[in-house]
Amino acid sequence: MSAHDRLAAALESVVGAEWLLTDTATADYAIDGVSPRLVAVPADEAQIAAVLQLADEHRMTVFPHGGGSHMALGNCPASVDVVLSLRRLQSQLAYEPGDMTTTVQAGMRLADLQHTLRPNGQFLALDPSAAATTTVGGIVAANLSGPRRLLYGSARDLLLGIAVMGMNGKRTQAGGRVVKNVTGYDLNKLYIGSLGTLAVIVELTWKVHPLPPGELTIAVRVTHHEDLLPILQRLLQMPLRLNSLVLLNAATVHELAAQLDITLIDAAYVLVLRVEGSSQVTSHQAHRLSESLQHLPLCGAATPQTCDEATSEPLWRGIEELPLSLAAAEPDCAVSKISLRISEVPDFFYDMQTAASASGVSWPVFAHAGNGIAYVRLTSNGEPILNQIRTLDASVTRLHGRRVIEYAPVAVKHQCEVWGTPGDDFALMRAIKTSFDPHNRLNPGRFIGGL
Amino acid sequence: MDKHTLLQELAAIVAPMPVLSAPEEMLVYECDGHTLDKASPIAVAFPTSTEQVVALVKLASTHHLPFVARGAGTGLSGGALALDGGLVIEMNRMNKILELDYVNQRAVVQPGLVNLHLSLAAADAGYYYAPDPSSQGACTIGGNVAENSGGPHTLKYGVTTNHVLGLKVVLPTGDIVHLGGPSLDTPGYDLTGLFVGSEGTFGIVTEITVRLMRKPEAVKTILGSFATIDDASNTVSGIIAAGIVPAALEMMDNLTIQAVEAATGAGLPLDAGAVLLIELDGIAAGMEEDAARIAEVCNQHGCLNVRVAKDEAERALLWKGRKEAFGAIGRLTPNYYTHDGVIPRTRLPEALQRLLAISHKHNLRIANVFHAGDGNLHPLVLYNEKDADELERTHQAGEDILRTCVELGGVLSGEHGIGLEKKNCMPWLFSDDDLEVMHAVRRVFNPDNLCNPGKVIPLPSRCRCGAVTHEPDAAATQEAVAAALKDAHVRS
Repeated sequence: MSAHDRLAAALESVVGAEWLLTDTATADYAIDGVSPRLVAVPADEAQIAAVLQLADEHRMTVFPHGGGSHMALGNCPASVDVVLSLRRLQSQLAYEPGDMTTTVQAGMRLADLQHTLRPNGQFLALDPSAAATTTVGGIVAANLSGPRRLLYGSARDLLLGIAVMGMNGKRTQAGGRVVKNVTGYDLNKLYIGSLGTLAVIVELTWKVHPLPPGELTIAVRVTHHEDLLPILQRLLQMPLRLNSLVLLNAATVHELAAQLDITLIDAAYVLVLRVEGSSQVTSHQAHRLSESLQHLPLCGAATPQTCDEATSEPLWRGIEELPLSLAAAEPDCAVSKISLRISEVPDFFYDMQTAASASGVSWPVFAHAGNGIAYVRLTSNGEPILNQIRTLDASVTRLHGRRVIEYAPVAVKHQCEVWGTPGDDFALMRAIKTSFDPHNRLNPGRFIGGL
Repeated sequence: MDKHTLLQELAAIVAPMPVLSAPEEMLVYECDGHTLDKASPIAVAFPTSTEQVVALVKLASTHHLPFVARGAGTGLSGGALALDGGLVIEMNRMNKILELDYVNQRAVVQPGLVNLHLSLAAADAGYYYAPDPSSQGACTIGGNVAENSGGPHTLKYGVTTNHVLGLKVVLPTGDIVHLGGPSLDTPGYDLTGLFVGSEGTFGIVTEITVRLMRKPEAVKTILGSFATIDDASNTVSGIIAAGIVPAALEMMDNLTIQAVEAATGAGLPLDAGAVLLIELDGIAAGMEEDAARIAEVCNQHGCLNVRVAKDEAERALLWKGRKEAFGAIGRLTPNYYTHDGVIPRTRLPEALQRLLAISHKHNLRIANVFHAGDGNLHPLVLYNEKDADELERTHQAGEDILRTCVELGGVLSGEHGIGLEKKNCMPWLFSDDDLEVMHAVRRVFNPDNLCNPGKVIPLPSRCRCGAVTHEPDAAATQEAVAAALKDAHVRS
């Protein structure tokens, strides 16, 4: 009996044969093309703890799995012993609308959670890609966010409490169920974005918000690159209740229009923004905005146009999906998320467009322009994608940003630093990983610097 | 090493700044805003650069001397106390604004900068720094980072951690590291988020990158007076239920009103059981409607009077009353003990009833002035430290208050920190395993435990002291795990 067979037998007695996948049945759970030896789908926390302890005893690696929508994020794994799926932990454990907090199991899908909150006029203010399938645990592990981050922040601003299961099967918690809390170290922050390398997230308490009374989407056509920064500055300084501000280049607009089968305005750049308030308040903001842009000295045109719901609804859905849909549309590419200062966003667009033209291709570039978070899809005309990543890195370095390759073919991922070069705090990160997972069994090798 | 040599070595590092060590000079440093515990440091050094902080930390490390960074000393949980006769590293001479970058809505500051001074510096450009502890005219941003400080406006805008993007830190080893940075989502673990609120036990911050916010176009400040604290509490729930998140939603009870009115003459109604100070801010459009809805909610809950500040002067006066309330309480009593527990908002009426019962039980006056919008209570227990019996009852009342918060599903502290004061209560909320994770993280940053020892978490052996309550769910889970494993081993 092989080591894996022995573990399979032990796991089967914990989760039952129906909830343990072996052999070819595990192919759907492949990570970067590596099929796991086993997939365990525990029913509850006790079973998760038992699975972890057994894997630890058998010296096997464990890869936590939520909705599976963002599993391409991270370095390629060397081998995958056990995928631990959280999909049976889907319960909402507490929801008190008056407290504006809710506690849910980590495997609950974001869409399902929103569905429970909406009747009370509330929502969890996160709008990442794959909202229908992505789980709240996955959102935390991968630190996913979307356009509304501009007003509402990201997981680090919304997560109040957490419970995790360590590789030793011990359940620990941090934070609490109240909206303001400094009782003990803020381990919530440590788990957010830790990509399942420290512990398996099992339970989360969130701060929720009232749904805005209304929203209005405005698209601004911008013809000249040099106008981008003054327009962005003006928009960020104006008194607006702005929850999203997304800058798209022409290639992204074309791709969105094709994907969504809608007509979008054609321009070198389109700024899509969304304001909140009652209909009176949003139209007041729209009016102000167009007046303000008219008075801005610009090289070219900046024409605002309000979008009706038939356009804005699919448009925002399409924008939310971009980090995944860009990769899905062009498998032989690299999609990168870049963190920049707001003022560098236009320069970054310029760098990417220049590089793409030089290669005779066109790269979709878009940015959450009020946050400085940009995305680009790199493709080539026969050249290795790795060269394009080098071009990207040169720009990011020049602009003092940081970047992550969120998607690339496996062969490319093997040859580049997916998370970029770590900073001088990497020794601390390694020490934290060692302290939580001394035998390096949780999602090993997938995170920054090979953690 | 003898003290004389130590003082010489310290002086050589920070010269020409002084090193204080005379017993009378140490009086200022033997406690912070939490005056119930005191400990005298061996010396106080005033560094002026990151390099000097490194040298001080290395010197302390060489001599196995505990050390603690101190800002303005306004902390309320004993976080800045040098236990075991350690060294105080006083950061208030590192108080420069290094960069104001309005385009990127950022500032880089030194830790000794007074919180309010940043907002004042950015005011002409139309920006401000949002976290606004009541002590913002004195407290430092470095201290705010250590404690993850809040303030009245954090209801809408979040606490310190939501506004800190990057840190330059001198680790207890003397190494300098940069956490986070000028842009968001720095790849890797969010050590910035982990560091904020670590109460000076992970290292010493020497540079802080913070977010600046655009000043709101309009502000409306409303004072609602209520006959009873119950009516005011129900109004808080009503405002939240109406889907309005005000910028601030503060409550003061009658005892506080009396003290504040005597101190500021803001025109608070002396006969009211409680007042709510409600502030809306943001874009001007729609604000009148929101204010009208709030007034309606107030009236539905038996509001005696709704007063809207007619100008900036009146608004400033109302806020002066709120922000100086703690000081005003000093008119009523020689000493007071401030608590900071948090409860779920919906439990507010029950919590305030129980505070009243605690006041009767221990025969002590308790004043309430707090952040009602986020359930962050500040019961002030009035006492006289010269009365030994009253002092003892004050401690007991404090414990009852904290237990009440925990029993109602809340936590020990919302913004003041655990420090020395509440560390032995941590087992009420956290299991030994939870606390061991916190210890493990602290060991990563602070392996020799020389950096602010004795704070935040009780020693592992201490976890079992007092009334340890284990999370019932956790115990049940452990049992179920044991059963599942046993089963697995039998069958495999």
